[in-house]
Amino acid sequence: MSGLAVRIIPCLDFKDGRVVKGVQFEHLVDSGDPLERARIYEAQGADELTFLDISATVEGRKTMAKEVARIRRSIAIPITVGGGISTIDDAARLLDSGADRVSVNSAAVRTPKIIGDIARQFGVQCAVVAIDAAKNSAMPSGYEVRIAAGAVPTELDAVEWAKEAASRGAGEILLTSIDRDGTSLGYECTLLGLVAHAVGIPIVASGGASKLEHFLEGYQSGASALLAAGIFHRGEISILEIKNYLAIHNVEVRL
Amino acid sequence: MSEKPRLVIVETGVANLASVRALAERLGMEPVVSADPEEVIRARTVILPGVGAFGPAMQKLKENELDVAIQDRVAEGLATAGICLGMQLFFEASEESEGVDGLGIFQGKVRRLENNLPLPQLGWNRLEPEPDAHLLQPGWVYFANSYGVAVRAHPEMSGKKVSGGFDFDAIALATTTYGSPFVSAIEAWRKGRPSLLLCQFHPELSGIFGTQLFARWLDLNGARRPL
Repeated sequence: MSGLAVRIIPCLDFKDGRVVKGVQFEHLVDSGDPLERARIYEAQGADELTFLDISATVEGRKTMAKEVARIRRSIAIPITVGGGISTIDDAARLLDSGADRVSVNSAAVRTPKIIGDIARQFGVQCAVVAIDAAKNSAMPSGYEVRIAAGAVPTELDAVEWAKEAASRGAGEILLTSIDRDGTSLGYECTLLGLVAHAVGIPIVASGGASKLEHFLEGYQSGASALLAAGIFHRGEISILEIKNYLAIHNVEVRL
Repeated sequence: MSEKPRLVIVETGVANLASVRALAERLGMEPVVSADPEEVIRARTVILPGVGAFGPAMQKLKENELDVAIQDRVAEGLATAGICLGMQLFFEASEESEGVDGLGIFQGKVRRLENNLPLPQLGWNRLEPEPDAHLLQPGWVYFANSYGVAVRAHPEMSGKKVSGGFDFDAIALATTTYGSPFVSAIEAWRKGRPSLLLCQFHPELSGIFGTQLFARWLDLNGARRPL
């Protein structure tokens, strides 16, 4: 028994400083205010928050840093920020604004050195490597890394890339299944299991969770943390429901 | 006079201090980041935050004579807290940076957490204070660490006289288990106050629990009273 609780992590997609996905809370119509959303999730027992910046402009990224700073002042749980981080300066700006960790995705594939740079400068726990993987039977593990929001295949084996990321100093892997993302089919547990067994750092499961049992399956596959977005934003499942469900299945959760 | 009491955060280099600043602000204090040893010695309340590795952090402290400033504060029984690496620096050495002397206020060496579990330990775990703890309370706290002080090392630090002439009236620990137990917090009392508080976890990221722990610590030290 590790003693450590499995983390439940809501993910918020930002564009130009606003939350852009699945904003369907009845009482939050037309809100899209990330601080309001973050406060609700913290109160519901979120163990951590992940922000993904999908802004495509320099202005949008500046707005993101300001939003992180605003949210940091009132949120007392860890915040990971990803999306568009391609230099150590990008990482530094977000950490200065109040992110506790940064996740790198495409930039890490293009320039793997950035992983070690972030780990050395800010600590291993700061360096999250986000991997978007899709099924490809030509790969030894059966999964291929994709970059640029899933659009571009890389011919990199997902499990091999995870091992390299860990050896370069990543403190965590945020592992998203492109095949499952946006579906309701549950996490890609085979992929989770392969990566969790291959590396000695924590894995965050992402993509496809929509039912309580999906979270249990993700945990049982070796994930240390379980991420979801739409189901939380739409109010379909609460964080507390997930934790209660895991607790009755003897999984350690923070209640 | 409505000026907020100052909380001095020791500058140790490339630290990400936004979360610790936010904690100070939630507590009604004005965070002041400083690498000035005079300011660190004089301040009513000082936090040594935890970022980076043991060796570079100690080197940075020594460059600015902040190591002596912190030792002097602790010897005087002034309110001082260490967070994560900021706690580890209070020990004699660390496996993370062999050959580097720590502040040596507590005996013992910081070691890599040894188990078959993922490292770093990232996430929420239980703080389990020993029965003689008065400040520390049981609850969930947030960790991000690969190193720590094993519980088997802790008999070395019990007792009034610890090391290097640092006298405490009482010392109590809290432990946490990640595969095996490690020391997750220390409260050390001088003159009826818990002047020294060390946390291997991150109180600034431990939700209401962390904020309330620091509020109690500050209040028991009279640190939030107007001057």
